[in-house]
Amino acid sequence: MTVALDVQAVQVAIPHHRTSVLAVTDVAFTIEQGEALGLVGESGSGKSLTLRALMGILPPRTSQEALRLSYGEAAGHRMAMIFQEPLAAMSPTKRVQDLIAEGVMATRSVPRRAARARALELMAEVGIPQPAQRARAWPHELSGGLRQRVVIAMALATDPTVLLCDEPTTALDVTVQDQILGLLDQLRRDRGMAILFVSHDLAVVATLCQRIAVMYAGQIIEVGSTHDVLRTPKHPYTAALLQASRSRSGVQTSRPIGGSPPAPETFAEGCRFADRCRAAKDVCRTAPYRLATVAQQHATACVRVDELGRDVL
Amino acid sequence: MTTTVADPLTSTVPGRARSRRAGSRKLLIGFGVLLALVVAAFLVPAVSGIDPTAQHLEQRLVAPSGAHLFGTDDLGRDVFVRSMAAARVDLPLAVLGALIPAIIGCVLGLIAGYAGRLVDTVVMRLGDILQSLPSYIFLIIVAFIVGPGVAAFLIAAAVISWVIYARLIRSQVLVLRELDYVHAARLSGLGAPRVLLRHVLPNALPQVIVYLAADAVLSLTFLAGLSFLGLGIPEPTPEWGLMIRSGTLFLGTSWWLSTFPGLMIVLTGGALALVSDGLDERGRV
Amino acid sequence: MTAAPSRAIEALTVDGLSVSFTVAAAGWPRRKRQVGTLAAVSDVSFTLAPGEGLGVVGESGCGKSTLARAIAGLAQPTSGVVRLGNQTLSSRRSRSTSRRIQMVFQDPASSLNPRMTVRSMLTEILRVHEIVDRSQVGQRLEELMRMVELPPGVLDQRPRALSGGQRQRVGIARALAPLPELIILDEAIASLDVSVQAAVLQLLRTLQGELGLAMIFISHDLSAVRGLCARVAVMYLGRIVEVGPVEEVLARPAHPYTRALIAAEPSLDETRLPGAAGLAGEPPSAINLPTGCAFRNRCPVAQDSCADSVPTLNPDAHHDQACFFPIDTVVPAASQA
Repeated sequence: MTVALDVQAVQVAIPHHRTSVLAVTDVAFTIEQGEALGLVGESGSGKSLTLRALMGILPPRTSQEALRLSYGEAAGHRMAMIFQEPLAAMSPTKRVQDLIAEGVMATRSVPRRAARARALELMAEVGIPQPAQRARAWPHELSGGLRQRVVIAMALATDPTVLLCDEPTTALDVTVQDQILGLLDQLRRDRGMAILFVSHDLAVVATLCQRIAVMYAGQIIEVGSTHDVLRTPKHPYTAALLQASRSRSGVQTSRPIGGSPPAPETFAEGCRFADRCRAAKDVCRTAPYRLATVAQQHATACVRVDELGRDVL
Repeated sequence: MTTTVADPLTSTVPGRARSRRAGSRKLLIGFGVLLALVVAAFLVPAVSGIDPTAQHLEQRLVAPSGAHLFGTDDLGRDVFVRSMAAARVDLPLAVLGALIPAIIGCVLGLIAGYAGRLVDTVVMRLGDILQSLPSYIFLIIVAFIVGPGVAAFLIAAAVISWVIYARLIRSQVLVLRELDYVHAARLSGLGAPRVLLRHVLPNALPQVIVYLAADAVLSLTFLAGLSFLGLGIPEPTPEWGLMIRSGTLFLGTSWWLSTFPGLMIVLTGGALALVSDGLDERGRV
Repeated sequence: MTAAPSRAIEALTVDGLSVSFTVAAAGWPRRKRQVGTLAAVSDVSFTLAPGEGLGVVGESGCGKSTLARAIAGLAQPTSGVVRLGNQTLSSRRSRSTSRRIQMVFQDPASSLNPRMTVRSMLTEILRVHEIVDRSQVGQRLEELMRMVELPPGVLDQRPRALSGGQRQRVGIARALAPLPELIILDEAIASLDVSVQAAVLQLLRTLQGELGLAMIFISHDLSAVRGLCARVAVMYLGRIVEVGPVEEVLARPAHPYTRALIAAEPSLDETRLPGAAGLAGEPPSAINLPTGCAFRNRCPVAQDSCADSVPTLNPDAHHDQACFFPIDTVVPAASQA
């Protein structure tokens, strides 16, 4: 397997009163070609900021303090992004075919006519029924699912090797979400494209991704294969998140995680989850952040992982 | 093949914070100028000991000098003292001329927006009719009926300007009444007046206050225009519009008579506009 | 634990409820042109026993929110009735009848008045309904906070200072304040983080047990319903297509739409493949619906005869469903995490 994207460091500062504080501090991961990595975290965990820093579209007033990444051997390395709100990613005054053709022309120097033809092909590839009829439609005329498909086609128009997805199915209905996830999975397999999929929902990520990275308070605190992370989580936060997902569906009851995630200005030394963690000891509040490998392809930032063993669950 | 991107950007562009801060500065300057005007309106005549209405026929049409900063008028009255003293009349009337229609407009706009249907149609069409009347012609009619003076100005302002406030509030009500917290208030069994006054109005009011400050400028020029036509404040009360009017007779020879009161209107209007802008940019009143 | 007087709780009956809207487009000049009728809710009937929980599940545009608003009195039914006990509730309700059904809304950002503190918001309701004696208002407020598991300090906060989960708890406290008999939760947890969702659901379960409240829990999310309600109704384009005990419906969905919904639900099972629901397309517009079964254009088992008439709820062997060709197979329990 070849690496499609190797992210060594991302740090993002957000404004706080008159100064700024780091909201994303410790993020590093790799994605291989044809692999989908899920970046999971609750609101405020810094997952969206990370994605936006990678794409170079940080919101105003935030600043990128560090960004080191490299593409692997993949030819024509490029990133493209799809968003939660597809309508916001489309110019309302352009017809869908032209929106997609624009991306084609931005990447390769082809005449408009050829770009439009390519746009039709892409519309077919993302499963838009009757692309020829829909080509002249305006974005607002399409249903939510079709809009997201157009946005995916716009992203594909630039021939990306890595597709960044910012909760692209959150606004969609369950059956349509399933269709879009199916489409992304198919594109990953057909094109060998790498996918970085950000979501707050472990279940959605589990459905699509081969590997999962869990973010908490600006750090990746656990990363591993989907199977390992779901079955044998090695960080108490991941375990709590899994329990929350399960207790939501009434399958099992659990004590909900007390408190709420810390705000960036209150990030302390040591483990940032310690204040909410039932297994926290003094060592947790002093040990520096380190993502330690506990099994093949499975790493955790919990310093007590060896002592906790299966009790983490 | 490895590409490394490393560009630590330190652009802390404080978008909203900067606009808030700029808003605060505008507010400070605007209110500062208005406060200075009020103080001067009372202090200048008192300290200088010059009665703004006192005539000194031996000192008619004296050009601006150390003794008379803005010169004197055709009756020998000090233009500087009169210009300052006029703020006592113009400022409160400018504010009242905006405030009275604002109150009327808010009440009618709330009722129209919340009740909808026939009430809404009647109120808003009435507004359309009033707005289609040329304001100065309407004013002349009012002045003819109630006689020239403050009352004519306030009545005319109230009848003409409430429409904009009513439209402003109504449009806000149409948005707010579909918000869940207003639904929730209705579900809790609160009556319509309570829902309107406690849940709708407070959230619609900031817009009105911003507009109120801007409208005071219009009200000020309206008042000055009225006096200019001879339908507003009667002589010899110092009032900017009136001073400009009496100065026009001597415009060719004694420029200072109309210029200084004119500048006072510009200054006051500018200050009010800054207040309105500042309130708007701060986003919260 | 409640100082406030308890009141008798009666059963809710919804009978043949329909809500439709006339859709008009601006013509020229200034003449509105009627485009069609949007049937948001069509002929919905069900009963809800005191203290019972009913989940209403469906995709956006299926009419579940309109149904909630019609029951609460915020939308006017075109036909049909809502009854609580023997009292028929019209959409214009007196102070004492509006008290009986309360709602919790989806968006915690817009469901609380930004200019009022939690205390003044709740005090207003207690006073209007004279729930407790004037001198006991403060005590009752603290009790409400305890019920929704918030510190009493929240009382003096404005919504801006609260997190999404806290706001939603305040929304629940507001709904509880006038001592309702039924609470309708319209996607009340949809905008929260998963861990917060779990905590709010836990709270709702506790309240249901302690207060004996009836709840209608509107959601697009089958698994959330499962944790809270004994019964579930599945809606598609304004109609209930299947209704029954939650475990029953999940284990043995008879309607192809219910089946697809269950299959499309993401789960914590990594072996489940995306796109497995196999349901193509999206719900058509509720304006000028097709004849016959509204689901037939997307239905994997549709026959020509499905276009002939609108299927009504039939008592199946297990529970009520509205399909001419119900599926009678058992879905393996493994598809639910």
